Amino acid sequence: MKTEIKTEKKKNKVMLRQGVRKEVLGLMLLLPALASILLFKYFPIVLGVFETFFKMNIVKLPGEFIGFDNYIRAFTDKQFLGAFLHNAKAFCYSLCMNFWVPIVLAMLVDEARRGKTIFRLLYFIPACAPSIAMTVLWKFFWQPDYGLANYILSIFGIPGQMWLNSESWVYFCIYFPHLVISGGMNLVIYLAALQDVPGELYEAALVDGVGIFNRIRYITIPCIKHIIILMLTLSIINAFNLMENIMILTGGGPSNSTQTMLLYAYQQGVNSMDYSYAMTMTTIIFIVTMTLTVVFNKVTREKD
Amino acid sequence: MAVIQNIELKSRKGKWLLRFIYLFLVVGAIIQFFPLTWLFLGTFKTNAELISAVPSLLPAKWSIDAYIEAFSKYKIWENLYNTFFVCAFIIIAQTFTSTLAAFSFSKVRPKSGNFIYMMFLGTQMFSTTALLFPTYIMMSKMGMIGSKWSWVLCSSAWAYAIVLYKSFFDSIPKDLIEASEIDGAGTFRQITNIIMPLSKPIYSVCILNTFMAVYNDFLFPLMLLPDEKDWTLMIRIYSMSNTGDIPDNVKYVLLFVTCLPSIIFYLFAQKNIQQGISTAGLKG
Amino acid sequence: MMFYHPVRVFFYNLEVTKMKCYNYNIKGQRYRQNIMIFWDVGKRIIMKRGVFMKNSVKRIVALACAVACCMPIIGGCGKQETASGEKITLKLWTKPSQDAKDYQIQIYNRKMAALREKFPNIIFEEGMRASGTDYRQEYDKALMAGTAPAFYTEFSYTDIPGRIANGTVADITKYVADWDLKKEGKVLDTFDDAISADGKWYAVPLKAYTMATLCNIKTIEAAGGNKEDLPKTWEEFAEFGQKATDLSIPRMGYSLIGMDWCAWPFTAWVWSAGGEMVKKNDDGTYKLTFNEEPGVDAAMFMNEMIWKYKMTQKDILLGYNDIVKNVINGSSCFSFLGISNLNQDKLDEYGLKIADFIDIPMPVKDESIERSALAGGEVITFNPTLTEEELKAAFEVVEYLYFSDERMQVDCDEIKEFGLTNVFIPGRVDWYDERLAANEGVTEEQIKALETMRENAKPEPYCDHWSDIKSQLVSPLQKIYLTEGITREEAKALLDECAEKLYSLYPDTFKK
Repeated sequence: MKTEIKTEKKKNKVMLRQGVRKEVLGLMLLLPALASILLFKYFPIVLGVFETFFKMNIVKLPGEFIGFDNYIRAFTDKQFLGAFLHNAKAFCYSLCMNFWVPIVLAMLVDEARRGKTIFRLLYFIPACAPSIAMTVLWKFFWQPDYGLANYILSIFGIPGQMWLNSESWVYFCIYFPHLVISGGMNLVIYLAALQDVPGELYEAALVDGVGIFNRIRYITIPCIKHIIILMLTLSIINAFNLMENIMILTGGGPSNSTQTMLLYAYQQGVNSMDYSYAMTMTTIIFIVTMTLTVVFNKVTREKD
Repeated sequence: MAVIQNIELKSRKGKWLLRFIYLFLVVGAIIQFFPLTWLFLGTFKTNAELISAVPSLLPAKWSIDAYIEAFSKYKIWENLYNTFFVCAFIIIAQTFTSTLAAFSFSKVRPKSGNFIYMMFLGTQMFSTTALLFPTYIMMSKMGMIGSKWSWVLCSSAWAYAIVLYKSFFDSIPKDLIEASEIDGAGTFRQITNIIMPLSKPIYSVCILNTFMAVYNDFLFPLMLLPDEKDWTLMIRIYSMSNTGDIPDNVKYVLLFVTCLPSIIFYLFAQKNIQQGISTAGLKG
Repeated sequence: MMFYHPVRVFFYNLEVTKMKCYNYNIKGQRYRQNIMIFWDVGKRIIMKRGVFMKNSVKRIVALACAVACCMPIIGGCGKQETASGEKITLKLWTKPSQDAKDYQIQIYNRKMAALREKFPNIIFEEGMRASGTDYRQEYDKALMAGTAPAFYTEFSYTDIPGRIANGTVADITKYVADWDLKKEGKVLDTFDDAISADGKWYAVPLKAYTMATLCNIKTIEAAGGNKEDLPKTWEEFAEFGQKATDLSIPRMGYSLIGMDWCAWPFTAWVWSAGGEMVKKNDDGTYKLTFNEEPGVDAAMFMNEMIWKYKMTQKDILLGYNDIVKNVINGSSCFSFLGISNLNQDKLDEYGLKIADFIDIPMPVKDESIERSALAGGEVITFNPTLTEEELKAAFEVVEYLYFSDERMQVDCDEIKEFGLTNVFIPGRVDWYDERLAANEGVTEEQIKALETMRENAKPEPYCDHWSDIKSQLVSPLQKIYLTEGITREEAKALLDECAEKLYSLYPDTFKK
């Protein structure tokens, strides 16, 4: 009996030691990633939020304490609120122009009997090019003086437009290239999702006499719904974090009409050296984006 | 499976519909390819041709002067070297940290693993710009502005990669690991000899994603690398789009040279992307 | 030990990875073992056989620590220790850039040799400013990182009042008050108001120049104009510009700056309409006057130049660098520049010479207004983080390098030797004539034109927050320029709005 209890205790001890050892091993394996994330992701964010309560002085950090002044200034700044509207406008344009095109094209590629892989490749390759390089190339296209866009218009007899210089066309000029730049990537993802739609449903629908459009409406779309929702979420996040494209194409746009929130924050930080105000704005943007994403997810989950 | 069934295609209406779809796709492909083609042909044109009021698709005279000028006078070699240097080291650092972390999350499962995993997921929310200024201040106080290692350190862990690896490692059955433990394999052996050979598709997906993210990133190096000799291709493109110093055909060469590695990399890893997308739980 | 040569075999719908591995049996002999792993596209894994060797967890930890430690060591800290002891170390940013021409490198080497000879107890660290996108930002970044130079020569005098307020320039009153050259009146004094405040001095002048309208004689004559009869009023200017513009050549009457620095030429146009940008009040604050009638006149004229007379480039939102390119390649007749901004090397690429250009003052709205020019200039500022000793040494170095007779003579000789063009007014005003005479590429005519411009040159306003006025004006000006058919009332409303915003942002500096 005694030996049984002893071996039992020993087994527990061994198992406990092994458990502790496992724990230690797990934490040690996590150490490099954890250290990196804490030091280079969380610490700067905390530092940034900390700095928003000060007025930063370049020579003597952190500067003088001003409490919530920066936040009050951000919420009453007309330019910042205008920038928010620009972001919302950008999101609407991207929905109308860019969101549905890859879905439609993916469905069309799916229809093709022969050469499906070739089409997929043809649409995919131009999307592989880095978006910044393509954006600069499109900037050349939209040049009013010698750009290609005006030349093509002149072939049809339409007078040359001002493109990036005119406030009415500038959003179109920003989002039209996206069809070419990132449309291909989305197309491949949708195509992969479309492969999973079971074919028997279509056959059954055909037997029932359902037309093509109704088949798409009632079978295809619900099956790829989760991908669409995912893409829509990504699209929201992209629209509110829009900055690099605008920086390159218009630098804030004709008279600040394409200045997005992040671009305004960046310009405040880099041009006016007002880092604390810039960080205030990035914090606010982060909260806004997160709120929008969470709200959107809740809404779409309810529908399910 | 296609929406239009084969039976429908036998009718005349179906045939014409299919032809129309093919035509539409071909036109779409031409439009998609047009900017790249224009870029490629533009690298062979002279500067005057590019800014003339009546542009033509093909160059009047094919000349590689632009290439020679770009590489010798405007030193694109340096930018290429800088870009690949940084990409290589960031890929190594990220693979290292992500593999260890994902292995720990999925196989070793420490008790506080869940909490730490949530912490990693939280970092995905931060945008680059939010991190930009504080990282810049931090690095300038450490005296590492102007050194490429500052960028490598900042990007040495990426939550997205860890999530992908973890979900893939989850699909490797635990019996494999336990069997090897009985046979006496330590952690290191387990990772390098079981997990890594089996995870080749997810490795190529993650390496590709990391490469693309680093290659396309230009805000971070713009702040952290002020000196011209450290610039990567993206910063060079940004600065060149602002100044008028560089002739247009050299700009085209720079853009084309930037597009090439990206396209080659993607094509190379194409097959693995397809596998990776379906297995890595993009659907889940 | 384990080596593996993976062999992929497609076996029905499964992928099979075959690995060969070498292992040791109990006797210590090596034997080969085959392992086959079946896996179904990553979804299910069935393993056949495998034996592995023992290992310890310490190895992985050691590797992780080693890698983690290596990174910062390899990266190294950029901050350098300042040399202590009797020798003083001064950091300089005067090194020429990587693609500098030979003569520039030669001039630089000679300068450094002379410096080292004259100041044996100072160690000079040679460096150059990072070439980023804006020189002001790069300097501020370096100041924050502690890598800024001892003295900096690129700030315009208009930047100084703002920098006095935020403490990024050092107080050098002690040295300026005792400066003999200044007492003798040999130092340029046009910027004194800007670089001093409350009796304290914060900078020394480096050079001055005037800018108004640069004319490309070759292009003008090709368009049918006459060198002797250049436009003097807005009417003549617009008439000629309209006639000369033919975008297919391409040739345009006037190159407009529409991007970030558009308020800079706008200042000169407001003057040529008879108005001012700001007016000083009695209590030291400033009243914003760019939204009064002359300012609106100037803005409307720019709009008409674009839309009514169609004499500018079509892409309005061009920046300063693009305008310089248009000027240099000969496609624009007039522009807001000066001969001092031109560089013979760049002109050589397009087959032009400095002698093909001439400077004239701004065309005016009507003949009752004086034709003016914008007087700009650069000053030398000192690093506020220097110690007393270092500041004294830096001042002595600056005094030697830019104000001593010795170096001024060397400058003139170098201009002659390398055929340079340098028509700036130097800090040592008494050397201006000799320096001008040393320029061989500049004709008599151009010298006379420069004299005429100097007579009526006005300095750019240098009130506190002047650069903020300029950056706030960008948006309304762009809107005015880009809206075809904008009315006077709308333009005035936009300018009024901008003024209101500035009044509310900086109530201490601007008062109505």
